[in-house]
Amino acid sequence: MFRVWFAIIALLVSAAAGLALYPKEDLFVAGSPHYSTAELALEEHWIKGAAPILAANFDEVSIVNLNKDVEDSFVFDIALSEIYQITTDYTDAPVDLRDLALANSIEPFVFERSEIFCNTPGQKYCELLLAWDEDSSGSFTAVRFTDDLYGIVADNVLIRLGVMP
Amino acid sequence: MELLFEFGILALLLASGASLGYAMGLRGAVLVPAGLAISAVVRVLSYSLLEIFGQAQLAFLTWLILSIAALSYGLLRFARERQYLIWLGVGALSALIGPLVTRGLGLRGIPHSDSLWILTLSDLMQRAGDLEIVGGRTAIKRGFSFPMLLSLGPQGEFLTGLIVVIFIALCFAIFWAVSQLAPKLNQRQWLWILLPVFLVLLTAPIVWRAVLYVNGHTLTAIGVTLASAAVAISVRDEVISRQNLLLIALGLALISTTRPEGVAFATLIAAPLISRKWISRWDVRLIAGSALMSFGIWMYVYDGYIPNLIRLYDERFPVAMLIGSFLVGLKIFDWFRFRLVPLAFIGMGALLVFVFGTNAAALADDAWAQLQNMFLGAGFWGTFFVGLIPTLIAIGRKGLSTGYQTMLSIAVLMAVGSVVAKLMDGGLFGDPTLGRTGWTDSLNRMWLHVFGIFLVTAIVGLAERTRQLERIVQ
Repeated sequence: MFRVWFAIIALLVSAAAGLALYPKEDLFVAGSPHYSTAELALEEHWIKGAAPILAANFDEVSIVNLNKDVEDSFVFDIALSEIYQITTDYTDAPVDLRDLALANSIEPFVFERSEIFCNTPGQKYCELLLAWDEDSSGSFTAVRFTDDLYGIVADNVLIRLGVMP
Repeated sequence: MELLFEFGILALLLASGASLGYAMGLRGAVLVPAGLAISAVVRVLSYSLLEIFGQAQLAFLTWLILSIAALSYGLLRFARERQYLIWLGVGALSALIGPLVTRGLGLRGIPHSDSLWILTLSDLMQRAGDLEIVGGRTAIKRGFSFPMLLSLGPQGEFLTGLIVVIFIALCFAIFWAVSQLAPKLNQRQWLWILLPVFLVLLTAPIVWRAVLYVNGHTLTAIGVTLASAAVAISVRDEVISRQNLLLIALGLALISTTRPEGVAFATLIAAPLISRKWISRWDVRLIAGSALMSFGIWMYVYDGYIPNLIRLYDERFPVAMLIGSFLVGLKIFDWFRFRLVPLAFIGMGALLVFVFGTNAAALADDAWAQLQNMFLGAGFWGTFFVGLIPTLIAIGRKGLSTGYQTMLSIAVLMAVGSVVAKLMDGGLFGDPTLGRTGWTDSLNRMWLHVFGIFLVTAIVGLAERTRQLERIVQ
């Protein structure tokens, strides 16, 4: 008899304590009409979201200057580039555009900004922006705008900004 | 339009699986979770075979044809049986609730990067991409059968309602397990047991988050609940019915293709049954094979890093799993097999003592983090464990049925096994870790695999003690 009542009282007391003491947490996100990985990655600014977002917006994507094994670079996930069939070139490090102070000029072309893992000395996280316009074809170059801001920018945008010939 | 598409796919998933389950003798509430598990196995096997032969682009069509064939067979054979039609209707209703919640009401799970990783795999499967490119550690941690089912969604999207349907199926699995293991009580007695248990469950936001959280935890929980209950019933009855054998095989296959540590959990769940002297050697092989072969196929299709680490390249790994399943039933292993449960406890206990003994300082903070997660609200478990553990201690073991004692053994084995699995994930002998505070901690989320069997154990134990009380009063 004691066992059953002890157990039931233990459950009831702990339930009452739990309901009274713990804050109510959100159980879901409401009003989110997004059902694809790219849309959700965009909505959540996913740290690894570049690959699905680019793949969802272009039939074919190629990116150069993605070397992540040197200082002053960021991590573009190899597995995700393969999953989304993105052609990648890891030979060279991101093009250093810090001297050109383009952080403001690129703004009209920015489609997404998110945190990214980077190899900057003393810094684990940087920011990555994805930039293109309606004339872009899917050819991208990885660049560095400031000490903690990197970008994957469409080649035609880099030409418009006078970075590429 | 997408809502209707999802409803159709989910209804077909449940109805085709339930039809096959019904044909194999399953009856009652178990048809919903078992139907889902059967369909998951059909989807994984058909996709894997086609992928191996380079024809993965036919996987959706093949699944569709197989499912329609299974449903047609069920309708032709059982259309006059009321119970079959009732459970098809329940399945259809569950299939409707899923997309209504996600696409109709626009609700979705709490954001988490693991969810997005899983969705990228689902994208790859939907496109029939080469799965061999994802054999690395990160991809394997995201599972196989769960993204495979999610990939049945509309073109370019995932099957959003599936997550809700899985949770509904888990509720049916828990209900079925309790109905099979607990003694008969009157309504008032059930109210006294179920109300406090439900109230404790209400305090645990992580359980309710799991209704929409995109991850394989609840699918694993279905496998764990089905297999554990079927093992407990078989141990209690000292016989394995064809239906229970099917449920064990299904549950273990589901666990072994949903989580990378699932194959180890499958061993722990099966241990109380395969260690019995009365079980036939071929049943042991079938049970072991359902877990090992499923895992073998997964690793083969992914070209997983695990077979490569142990140099069992290509088809050698699934072949080794097949041979392993056969060897388990050999007489020379009987001494170990008959003592599997105490050996598992001793082995895992010794491992924990060793790891904690040699890394006490490093693990102290992690252990404190886990205690905060489980008991102090940091892991969003509310007072679930605070209420449940004293309850299980109060219920005790003495004088209770073999079924209850088996469920309790499995629950404790799985709890200890989860801690060991987490330590192994962090590097058992290198830099072991037990995780961090917060609901997203992986060990904290692993409790979602076992909360169902803890619930079943507590409810069955309380019901048995209540029944004993009634006999004393009479």
